[in-house]
Amino acid sequence: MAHLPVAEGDDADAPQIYQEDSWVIIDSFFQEKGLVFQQLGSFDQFIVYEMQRVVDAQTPIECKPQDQYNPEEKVDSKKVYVWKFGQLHFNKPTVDETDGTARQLTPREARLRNLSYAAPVFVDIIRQVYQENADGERTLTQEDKYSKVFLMRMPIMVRTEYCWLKNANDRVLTEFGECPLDQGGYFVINGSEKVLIALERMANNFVYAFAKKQPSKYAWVCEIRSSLFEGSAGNSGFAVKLLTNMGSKSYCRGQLVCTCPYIRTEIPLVIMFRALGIVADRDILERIVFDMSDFAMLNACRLSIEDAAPISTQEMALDYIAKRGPTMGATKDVRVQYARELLQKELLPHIGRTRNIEGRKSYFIGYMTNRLLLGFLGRNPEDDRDHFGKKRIDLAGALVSASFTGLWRKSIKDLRKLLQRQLDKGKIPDIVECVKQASCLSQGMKYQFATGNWGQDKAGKPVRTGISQGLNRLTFMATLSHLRRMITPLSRSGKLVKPRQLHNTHWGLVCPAETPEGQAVGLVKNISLMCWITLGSAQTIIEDFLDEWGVLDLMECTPEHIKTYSKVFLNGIWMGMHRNPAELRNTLQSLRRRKDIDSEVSIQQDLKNNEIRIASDCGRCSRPLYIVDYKQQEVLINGHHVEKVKNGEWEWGTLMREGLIEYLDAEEEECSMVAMFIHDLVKTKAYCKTYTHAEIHPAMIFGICASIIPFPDHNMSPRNVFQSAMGKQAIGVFGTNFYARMDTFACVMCYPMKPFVGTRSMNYLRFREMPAGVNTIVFIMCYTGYNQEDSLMLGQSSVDRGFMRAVSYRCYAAEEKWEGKKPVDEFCRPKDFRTIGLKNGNYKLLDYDGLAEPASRVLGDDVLIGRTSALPPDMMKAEVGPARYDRKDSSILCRTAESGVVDQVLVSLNKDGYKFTKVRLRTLKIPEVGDKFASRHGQKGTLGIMYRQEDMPFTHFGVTPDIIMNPHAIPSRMTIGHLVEQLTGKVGALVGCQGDATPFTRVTVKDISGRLHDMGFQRFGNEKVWNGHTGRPLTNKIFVGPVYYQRLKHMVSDKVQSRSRGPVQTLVRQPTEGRAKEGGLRFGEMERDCIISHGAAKFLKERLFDVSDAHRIHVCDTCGLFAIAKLSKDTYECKLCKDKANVSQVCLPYACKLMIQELMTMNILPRLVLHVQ
Amino acid sequence: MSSYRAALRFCPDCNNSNWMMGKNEKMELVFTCKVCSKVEVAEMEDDESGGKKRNDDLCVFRHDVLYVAKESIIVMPDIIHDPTLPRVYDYCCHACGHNEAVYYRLSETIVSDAMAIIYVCCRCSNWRTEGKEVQYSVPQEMAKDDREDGSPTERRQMDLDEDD
Repeated sequence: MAHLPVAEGDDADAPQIYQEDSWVIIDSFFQEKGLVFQQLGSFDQFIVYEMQRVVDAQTPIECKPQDQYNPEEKVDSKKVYVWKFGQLHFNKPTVDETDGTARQLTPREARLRNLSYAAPVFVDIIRQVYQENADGERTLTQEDKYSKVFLMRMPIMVRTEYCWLKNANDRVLTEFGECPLDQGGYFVINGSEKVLIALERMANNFVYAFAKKQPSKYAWVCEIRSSLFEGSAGNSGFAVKLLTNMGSKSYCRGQLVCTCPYIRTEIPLVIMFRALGIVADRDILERIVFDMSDFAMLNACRLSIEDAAPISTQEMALDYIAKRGPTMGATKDVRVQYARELLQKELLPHIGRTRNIEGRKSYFIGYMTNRLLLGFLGRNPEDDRDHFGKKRIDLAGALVSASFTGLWRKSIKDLRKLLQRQLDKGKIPDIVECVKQASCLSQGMKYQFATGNWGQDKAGKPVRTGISQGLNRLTFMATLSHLRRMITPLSRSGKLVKPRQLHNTHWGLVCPAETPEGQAVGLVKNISLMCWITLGSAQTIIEDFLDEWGVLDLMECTPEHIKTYSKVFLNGIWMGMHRNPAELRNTLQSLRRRKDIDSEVSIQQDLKNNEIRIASDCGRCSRPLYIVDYKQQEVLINGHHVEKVKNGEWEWGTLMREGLIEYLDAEEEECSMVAMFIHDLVKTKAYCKTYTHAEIHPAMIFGICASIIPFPDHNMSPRNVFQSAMGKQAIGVFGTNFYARMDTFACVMCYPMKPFVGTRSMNYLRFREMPAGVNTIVFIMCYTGYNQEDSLMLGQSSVDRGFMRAVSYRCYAAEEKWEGKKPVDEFCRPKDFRTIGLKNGNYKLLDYDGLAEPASRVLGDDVLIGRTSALPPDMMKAEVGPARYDRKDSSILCRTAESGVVDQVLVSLNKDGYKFTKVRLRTLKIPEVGDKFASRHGQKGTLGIMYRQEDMPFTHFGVTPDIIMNPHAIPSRMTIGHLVEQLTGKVGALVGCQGDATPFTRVTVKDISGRLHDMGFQRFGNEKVWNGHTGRPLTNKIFVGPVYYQRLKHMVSDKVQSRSRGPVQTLVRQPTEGRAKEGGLRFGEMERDCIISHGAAKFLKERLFDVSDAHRIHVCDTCGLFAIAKLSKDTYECKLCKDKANVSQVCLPYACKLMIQELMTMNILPRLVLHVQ
Repeated sequence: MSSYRAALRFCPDCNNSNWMMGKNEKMELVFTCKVCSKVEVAEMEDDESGGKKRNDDLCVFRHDVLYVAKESIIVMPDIIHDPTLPRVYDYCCHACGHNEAVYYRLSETIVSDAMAIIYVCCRCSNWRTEGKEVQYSVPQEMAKDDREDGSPTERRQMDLDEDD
């Protein structure tokens, strides 16, 4: 498989490159692409091309006034009105204020004022009026152009085309109030940031052959999901199936059958061929078997041929098919015509829907049958459903495009109705007004973004939920990772293991470590650092090239060609045959390397099946690799090139254009030989001499969260998975503009540090600029026993100096509402003389405007925003108290369990022009016992105790630890990376440099310990330590060194909960549940069982009755029903028995009393029998 | 186990396979076409080339009592260009003596020696298996003498009893 070497004549003696040089190349990749390029590129594709394409595909609306059989309304039914949609125009995002002005809207303002970051879209409309004469001929009488009719407001992804931040530099970004490191890639809907999560799905237009699990009607099936455009909703399935041979008496005797769209039953395959115009048996077999000397395969078809003998002509076959479709009571001619059109339009639409396409379709069905039989005969294995090359990723662009198409269709339908109605009334409709009325685009789009209920099926139910998610802003890493997430739409409860497993083809495309644990494991994936998801390029260019390079068109092929030549497929369409596949492949590959055809196009040569497959569709995962000169076995890129990139002369695109690097997708990678390292190519000791590509750096297989793990190649793999999940909970800095943001909840660390020991990949993730952790001196030892079972000991003195200190922010928002001049909701200090239902909180913090003053201390249940609402008039009258009340309190209180300081108050107008406020509360979080910390190796622990410095153990230098970690956390978890990090960190701290912990490099523990030894320390980092309490030396040496520790968001102060008495639920009068409602902890069935087994009856009664919903009622002894008791007068009466003497007092749970009364309402009479018979 | 008419035959006029077998008054084997009702008498005698008519051609019905469908080894000659296959450089091709060969494992469904290692010479595409019984391809010149119609793209195995 000789690759054409790319001409680089004068570089013959250029210096070879080393693995280290790869980082220059990787730098240039991220410089050009950024970190969320898939989101940005995909949405740009939609807004620039796809949206216009949807509008262009719309057939013009045609309306004709209908006579209304009403002599009053006379309409001119000879006139035909046609509306055509033309060019779309976009503005940059604006906001329409209520005073009628439109102002530019920045993402920041949208976030703060709870607005949607959306751009107005306008469309050109042409109206043509025709006069129809008696013969139905039309003459154009009038043509009007309406330019830039307002169509909709389209949510715009931040930092894409039409966004104010597109191409903005750091200075401009800062002026816009944005974090310059923020990558965009999300939308702002009603003030909250929304991400569209990519969807993984099976590729369309691919042929899959599977064996069916027996017992089943079918032995093998060969399926395809055919769709005209990639990603369009209208795809139709087609399958060729082989029935199981269940003996000669059965219906299933091993025949070949196929499905057909709109036909209920399966059609014998031979009849399908006849219907497509391939009538003779020999012709059919030539389509299927290719090689007529292949007896085994011919035999497999024999029965199908014999069975179909009665249907011997095309007409009969078409009739056979149509009879099984929805053609009740039609004549034969109509039926045959129906079947003909069905086959032309609906069968395998990706091949074509034009006339005379049947020949190509018959070839394709023959190919599918061939694949099926190859599988059945055991020559080919079953296809792999989980192969990543056959998966496509629907990114934001594709998702928005799908939902826009749906909404556009609905809008057009409504618009047509509206226009027709107006014409029927004899009015000439105003298109501008009608579009405004009928369009559900703005509303629908916003709804789908806000709720995540994506798309609508026929019943109006959402097709898929959870597509649009609120952007995780806990840590910068969490944000990035969220923007690069990908889900497989399988039900999470499914027991199927296969789709969850890491597949070989995921290498370099999907992060092997970053996936959640539990029910969604393996279904939620994250793309690797250098994974590039294709945007799709035009197929026609490749078609032209194929034609030019000698691909024999399928319709000009003879059976001999099909037998000997190679099949050429383009996006699943069988284009034709080629004599020399290797040559064709080489040619196309060199064209791609010269960028004559798009670099995204993948070219695969399947030697086993003698096929060439070319793919240019969107949503394929690919990744860049160095190209290796096949003959020389050397990477084409050399030192000069690297130098040019370093100098800034060249960028990533240049490298691609020069043919030094190319993108390979999972499918093409399958037929390439990739060297893991550049130094693997050394000829003398090479593992193989047929390399075609070389890995840029294997560390690029990791995703965002796994890239911050130092030495992940030294850890047990589940530990890397745990750290990938935990890194998202670490408190750090989520953006440099956190002070200017009003998030509902945010957490920021006070003194974050960049890690002593880090990876090269961190540079691209900006982890050093926005870190989430602290370098900590760790002793791994057992000290007083307060670090058992994954707990940690912290130095109190370190904490006092600010170690792991964090600030959490919480925002409370409220808005006013007015009806004309009358306030419905109004911010104010509620006056107790006119306000009903005042809250049980402290109103003293409120200023004159009804808002808490900044810098005031707030405790739980303090009022932050004072607001009163209008009291409904009937309430004013029916009120028991005096009629002075006219307002109802609707103030907003600080959460019960929280306290803090009012940090900032924002007052603005919302989209309806009413006053709107956000109050931000700030709380200092100092580490306390029970808080959670973790190193970067899945080693999490809670704080067990804090010792002052004098009680801490100390080394010979007087070094005391910030954290004492228990050594028992190491052996079973095998996080060697943790120890190596500590060792490297120690060297780094002593030398004064950062340690490199990039995975898959040649750094060894021996090197590191050697350097430590040179520094005069014990080789493996162990040191003599003295007991802090006694001052005596410890017998064992202790492993001492710095480790980067993260503080996780789970903090005791957010979780503590206690209750003695407190609020009860109104219905059952049992204690409330949950911390926010000051609830109790549930004493459930299991606990009840336990107490019963102890025989502690009194305790059980106390828990379930006395401290829960104890209640007292009075019961008539005679009838057992509730009696009336007037305790103050000491009179008791049963109304039913007219008895005043025999009434007993009973204590029972309120819930029980409630149930008895509910039963009574259902005409069931529960009697309480109180005496023993 | 399967029963079927021996070979698929096609009517020379209409390319259909519907041949019925019967005997005419002369007690000869006769093929008739269902579609175009063409009648043809089967040649029982040797044809002019001198070779005996093959049994397959005259067989009208066949019943396999124990029939295990195993595939013979088919090697695509292009496979030697596959860069992903491992190679050996101390090989000795039985046909051309070349020292480089690609090798891979046969699938389970193939002939007697399932999962044996097969070596394919990188110069002449002739192959040899390594396993319980050694099989190898017949070099092309020999194959040409053997049967004229053998397609050059695929060579079928020939069993040769050979002990290592």
